[in-house]
Amino acid sequence: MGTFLKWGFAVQFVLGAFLTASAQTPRCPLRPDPGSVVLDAPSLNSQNGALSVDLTMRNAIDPLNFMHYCFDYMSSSGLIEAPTLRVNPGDTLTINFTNDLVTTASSRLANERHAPVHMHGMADAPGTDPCNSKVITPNTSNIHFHGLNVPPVCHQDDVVNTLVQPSKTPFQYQIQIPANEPPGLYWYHPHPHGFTGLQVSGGAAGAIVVSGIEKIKPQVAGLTERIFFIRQQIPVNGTDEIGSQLTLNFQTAIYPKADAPIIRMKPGEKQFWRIANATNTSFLSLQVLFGGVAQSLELISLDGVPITGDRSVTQLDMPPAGRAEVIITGPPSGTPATFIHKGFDTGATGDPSPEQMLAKIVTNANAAEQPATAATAAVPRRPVTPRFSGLTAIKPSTTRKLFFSESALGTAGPVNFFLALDGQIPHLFTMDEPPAIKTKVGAVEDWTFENRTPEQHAFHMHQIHFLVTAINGVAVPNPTMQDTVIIPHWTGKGPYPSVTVRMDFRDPEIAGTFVYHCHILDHEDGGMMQKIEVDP
Amino acid sequence: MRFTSVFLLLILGMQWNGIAAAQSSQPASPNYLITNDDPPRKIGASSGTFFTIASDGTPQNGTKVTLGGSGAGGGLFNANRVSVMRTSACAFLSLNGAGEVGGIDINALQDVDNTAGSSSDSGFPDGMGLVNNGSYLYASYSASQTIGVFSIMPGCSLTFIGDISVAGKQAGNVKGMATHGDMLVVAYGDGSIESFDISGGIPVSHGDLQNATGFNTSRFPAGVDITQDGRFAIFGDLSTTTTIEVSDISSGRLTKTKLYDVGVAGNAVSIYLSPDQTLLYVANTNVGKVSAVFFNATTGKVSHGCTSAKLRGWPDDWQFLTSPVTQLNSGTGSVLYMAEYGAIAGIAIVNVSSSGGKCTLTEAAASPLLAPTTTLLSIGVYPARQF
Repeated sequence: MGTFLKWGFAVQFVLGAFLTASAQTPRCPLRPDPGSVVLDAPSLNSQNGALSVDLTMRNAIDPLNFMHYCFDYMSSSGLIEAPTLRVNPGDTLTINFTNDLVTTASSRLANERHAPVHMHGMADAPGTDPCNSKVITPNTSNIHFHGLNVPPVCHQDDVVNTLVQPSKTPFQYQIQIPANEPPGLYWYHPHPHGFTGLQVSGGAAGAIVVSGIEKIKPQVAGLTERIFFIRQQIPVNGTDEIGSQLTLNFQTAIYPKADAPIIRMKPGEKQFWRIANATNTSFLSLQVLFGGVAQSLELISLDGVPITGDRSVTQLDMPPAGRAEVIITGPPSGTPATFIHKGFDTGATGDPSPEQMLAKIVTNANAAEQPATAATAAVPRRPVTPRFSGLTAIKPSTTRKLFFSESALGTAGPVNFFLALDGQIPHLFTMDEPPAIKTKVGAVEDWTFENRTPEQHAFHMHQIHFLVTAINGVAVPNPTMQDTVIIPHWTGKGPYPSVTVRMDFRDPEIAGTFVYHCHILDHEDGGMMQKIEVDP
Repeated sequence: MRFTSVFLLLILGMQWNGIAAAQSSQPASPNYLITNDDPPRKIGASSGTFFTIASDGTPQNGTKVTLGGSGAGGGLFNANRVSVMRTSACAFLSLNGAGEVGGIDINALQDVDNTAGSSSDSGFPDGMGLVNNGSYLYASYSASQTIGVFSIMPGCSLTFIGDISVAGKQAGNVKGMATHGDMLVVAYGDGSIESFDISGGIPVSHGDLQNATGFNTSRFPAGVDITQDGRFAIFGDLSTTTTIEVSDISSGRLTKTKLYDVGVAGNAVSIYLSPDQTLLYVANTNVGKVSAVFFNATTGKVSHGCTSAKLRGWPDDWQFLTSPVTQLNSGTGSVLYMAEYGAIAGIAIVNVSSSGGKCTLTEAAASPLLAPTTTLLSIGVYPARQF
């Protein structure tokens, strides 16, 4: 449920200030028209072990009254949005991040929704140090490098203390991609607690590709690569239940209300699709249909980590923030084909996630190929131990049980969202509270999550991946490494549904304090989050 | 306060003295269970439905009274959208989509009039709660964060006399209201509570806005009831456990609440004190159950009571349980009714038994009664409980 966030007010208060500025300079690039060919985001490739990018976060209202939050990048051909960042393991990624969100007076509703219960101990006025700002407003932003196994410290992947206020002075992120980072699809998005959903639903999300997957999964070598980001846009005065729309690479996917996006392929062509669910709230169940029949998809990777062995599926169930990489074979010439979300049962009080065609797949022997882009060759480095090695066989040092729960004040909210350790009285997360869990580098722990609510949740762990080992107490036959996992809803009968995962805290680089939360962003913003401290 | 007309208040106050005397006779109408049907705004005219009550407590023979205006189709659980006068045959239903209040003459089962608040008063989409003290009707407009004040006129019509802006300590809007004499007690759902002097109609804060005890552990008062003698204000908390808070208001001000954790049945935002004040009913909306906890009206203490089994149809047919009221105005009330909101929706009918410090809550065979709309959140009874 959830859908207590009402973006309207938060957007309205930026609107007035924005209109003045927008008359002179476009703050966000125009997004594609319905029914047009789906294009991938432009890529920026690392060179000689480094990629340095200037990104500016801006907001705007489009002519159809949808709010945009955009990672702007000024390319040689003009302003582009949310470029794909391509790096190699061991590379240094530098982002000079400028927050150009419109500065306004405080919003009464925004304060009501967020400030009261989540900002205990926060300061009244912005500090000058983004590493210790202690102020979160709708215009505060930052960057989370979702899925990357990198340190939770300021200037790297910290969202607990790093809060960048609007300023002309860029704030620098600098991350060394671990030499043993699995090659795959990761992503970057803002993470200011209380307003993450607002900014991500505005479109502030882009891909990070760690190159080299063909070395582990040679079957993708030479294939045309596509990167599809499925987002969820929300109109001014809308909610994620009222008026929200799925988009595919920023193109509205609301067929039959508008023409469907078009994906071009050659007949029978194999392509490597890298798909991210970058929506706020939508659990997706993706299929490729030929003549209405679901096709086999060769699963390559989940959440950036190549799977073990070979597996084919006809349906990809993806929580918000999940990624899946698959090989798909194009339809024969003349066969009607579609890329669809078949709808998802999110539970009695979950946000509806109805069936929606995301794109028509149109075959043409002369279809232009998107180049199979690769980062420049990695600088040779000494051999490294593969990440997550031997995790299945390790005996966990600790087991924990956590649970998701909710309490609501109304049918449309406000809802209080809780994530708590078993035995604790659930409480709303506040940014200044101490870590709920303390552990040490080197630990391997089994965590079981119970869902005590009638709606689906999506557990996400910052900094590390985990091995999904059991669902409802039954061992998973092919465990996969993930950073986000679906926690099935409770039907009201029988025991609470549960998911058990194995947490891998062995990497000393991830020492520090970071968060885990529900990646339904309304829930995360609403308090379904906790901190963990991993001591060296 | 945005608008106050002292002159108008004086006139209305004088009028009311006469009205109360004229309408305080024993009601002639049968007992009714009253629903605010509150359909979604796009559906069109809103309505109330009046069910007569069979001897075993089963509502039957619903008569729909069309009100015009429009509903909200959902919203806050604890914004009671049905307010029945204790001394006359008048029921007031909020028309949440229109920002109006409909007055119904219960004897005639007719809509008397719909009355709007000020142009800025807005209760959509989360609804408008209603409460009356016999002279004035108070409407909490959730969107505009105002309390509109209406003088109750002869024949169940209303006259809008003004409104005030209100907000909790954490800026929350009004989630629950209750009156006792000249006191209005409000819960904001953000952890804070406040009381007002309503002797002049328009609420004037007592200056006792405060965070309740539960605030520090994420238990936020949302529902309110007040004992018959006006000594205790009882708050039902927004919580994943069932917590109740009690404030001694015998001084005319809210005092620090005492928190009682009475089980794990779930969210306690909707509460209702039994007519004999021995039981406090709690609609545990998150888990589809209803609880009754023992209440000592002399000491204000709350203690463990009983919890029903899951009520039929939850969560497949309905998801939210609100607005407990009782059939009778004596003893435990005998039969408990609640609104079930959801895909099918209904009116839960639960038999209450209490003796020797033990209680049971058993869903009746006829429960649930199919509700007039799937968006039912509030019900009331006539005659109303006498406090």
